[in-house]
Amino acid sequence: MNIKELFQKSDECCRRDFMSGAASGLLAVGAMPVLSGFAAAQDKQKKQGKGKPVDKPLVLGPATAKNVIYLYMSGGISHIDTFDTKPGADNQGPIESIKTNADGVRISQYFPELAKHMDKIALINSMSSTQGAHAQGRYFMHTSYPMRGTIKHPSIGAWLNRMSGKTNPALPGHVGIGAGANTASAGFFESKFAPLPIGNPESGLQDSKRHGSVSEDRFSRRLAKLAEMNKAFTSKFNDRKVRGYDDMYQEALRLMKSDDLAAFDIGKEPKELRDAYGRNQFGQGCLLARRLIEHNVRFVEVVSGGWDTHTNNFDAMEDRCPPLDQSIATLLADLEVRGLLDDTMVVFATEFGRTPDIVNNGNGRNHFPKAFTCWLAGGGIVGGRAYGKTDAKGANVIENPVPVPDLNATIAHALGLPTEHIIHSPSGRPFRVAHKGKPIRALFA
Amino acid sequence: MRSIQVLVLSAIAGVCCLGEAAAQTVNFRRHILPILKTSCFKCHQEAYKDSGGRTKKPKGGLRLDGKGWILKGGKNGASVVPGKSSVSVLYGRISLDADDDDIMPAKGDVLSKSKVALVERWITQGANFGSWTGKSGPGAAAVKKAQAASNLTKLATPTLKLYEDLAKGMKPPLPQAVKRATGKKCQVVPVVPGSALLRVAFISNESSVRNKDLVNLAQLASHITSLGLAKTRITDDALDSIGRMKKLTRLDLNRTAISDEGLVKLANLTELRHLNLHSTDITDEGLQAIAQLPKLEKLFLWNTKVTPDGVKKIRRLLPRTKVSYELVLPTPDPTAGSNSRRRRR
Repeated sequence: MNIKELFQKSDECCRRDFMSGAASGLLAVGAMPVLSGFAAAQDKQKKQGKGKPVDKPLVLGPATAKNVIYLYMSGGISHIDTFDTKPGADNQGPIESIKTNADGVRISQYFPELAKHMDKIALINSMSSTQGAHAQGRYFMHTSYPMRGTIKHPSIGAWLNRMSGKTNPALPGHVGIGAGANTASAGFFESKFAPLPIGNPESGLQDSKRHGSVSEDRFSRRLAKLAEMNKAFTSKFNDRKVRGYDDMYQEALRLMKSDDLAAFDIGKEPKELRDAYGRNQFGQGCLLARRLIEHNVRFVEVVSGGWDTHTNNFDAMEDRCPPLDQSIATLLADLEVRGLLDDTMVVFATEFGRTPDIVNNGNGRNHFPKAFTCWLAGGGIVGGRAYGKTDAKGANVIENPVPVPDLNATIAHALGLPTEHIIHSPSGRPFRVAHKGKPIRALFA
Repeated sequence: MRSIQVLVLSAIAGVCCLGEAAAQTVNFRRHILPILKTSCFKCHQEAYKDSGGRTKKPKGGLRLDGKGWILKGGKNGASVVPGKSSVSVLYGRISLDADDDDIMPAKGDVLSKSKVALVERWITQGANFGSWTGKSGPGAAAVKKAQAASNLTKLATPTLKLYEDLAKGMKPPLPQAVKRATGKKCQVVPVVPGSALLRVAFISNESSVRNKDLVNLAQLASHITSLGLAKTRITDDALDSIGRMKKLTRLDLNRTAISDEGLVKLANLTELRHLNLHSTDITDEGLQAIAQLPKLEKLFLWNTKVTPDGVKKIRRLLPRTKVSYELVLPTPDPTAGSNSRRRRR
């Protein structure tokens, strides 16, 4: 029982994040007391309005990937100092670029291990976003829609689970690991599609075992009693939020009884492998992600924070890139050797890049959504290349521009999710998995 | 008897549907053209001079004043893809939310729901223009190209192509057999939606799966192209029936108790491309049987009893096969994660 500990570690998860995360992920409900009246009103409206649009039957397409590991660099990682280096340019700063095992692809000196895996990676150097602030940028990257006051959009992992379903019925289909893994959400989908938040990968899934003093028999009697007590309420208020509570119990019970619970325990991994992943939150999170993918969880996001390098860019790069390099290189090697990389798409994403010009007393870079880099590996992606290009300074996209929705459309495409399929929100508005993004088909051949 | 009932029922249903659809067939001239005229043409027609003498070009490169122009569309692709409203830009744009930046018409009132539904139905019914052609142009080639691009929703990787080739001439698997084999622990799905080939995988609580759990797969043997048995408790005995799955292209046996003797039974799987044996007890000897597999592309041997010499040998025998054997890990960085801030010189 470690909830108290989790509360206290403010750098992992602040209390409010934890509560709302637990409510939407583990408890599978939204802000119930505030919204229940609203939801009831909506349901009423639904019954009256006969002309409400109905979703067409969903036909999935062929898929090259089954699952996704989504590595998210929170804060906006500098493209020029990582995967879109500009050797010789004035604005490059002190960071040098190195060769990789892919012809003609050069990356920053801080990624010597990933350089050995570049044959698996397709860099997308021509990303561009329309959002220059963190929350908006993250939201846009995860959902393909700009933040609106009137609706909450589902993130790509929720879309995957909504459209194509879970594989392993005993485990959640969507997991978010690390502090700040709270951007992803079920949006207007039912809350069971929200990610299960794991604050600290080392402690795995908390409170998931039956207490020793309660026998199996007694436990089921308690559950029966609970169902009996709830019966009147659930039949009177049969809306999606109330059903969400029931889904939550059922899912938790399935998980408690399952052997697959071991998926959450990285303590079962050999010490050398744990060391190789890096003894830090992100590294161990990557290891947990691999274990979950191996147990057929469909979408796992691992968040690495601290990339908002306004005033300390070059120090931060020197400190933060090497462990990142090590963790991701180990992840790719580990996935490959187990035969998981064929089915698993690894996504490296961030909300935006950083200004090509060095600012703030010569040691910083500010937000820069106009041009930045993300990358994809595995799951049908043909690696060993850089797609798209920026100019000599890294300031403008000059070849094959990739707006944020196109990246999500590419992920969706690999997973067999039809990007043109419309799903209506409860209020009857039409939405698509990657908004109007178009998949980059060139990356698959 | 039951099949006759079904037949009669579906015939009745069919007639009803026909009657209904016929009554609602959308006529382009009568229903759609007036909508285009009032709401679209102002911005989307041949370039013209307005009263002030300024040239008005069609917005977004899109003209809607001729059949060819509609099918070719503007810079966002074909406006109308017959039969597919979901990829037709025209329908997409008029059906947006009123507060969406991309809603059409951009100026003036949005179209009423019934008009939007009419356009949708017209496209779904095949976008029949009747005798109307409107203004002439563009060339047939340009129209064809735009239509093809809009229809390009399929992935075409070598693996998907392979599944297509292998499934040629195959009948779909018996639904009862699929149903019998499917369970909480076992997933049975078409390898590609609509394919007669199946992907079967044990996906939950694998360590409780034993040889007897594979019995129901026998009836599907000729359909299974991908079989996932990783981490199950199957033994060499199970490989007898697996060795008869002629269309098998992918087999995952990693983390099972299979041995060299079992691998011999796979020798006839001539279509096999992907064989995962990591974390098993197979040795150099077992690789003899694998060396006979002509089409093998990927072989996973990490964490087995195979020796480096054995790997060398198999690489020589199967030069086109990618053999994954070593897990090369980065040397742990002692300062990683310690949060110690190393100052720059």
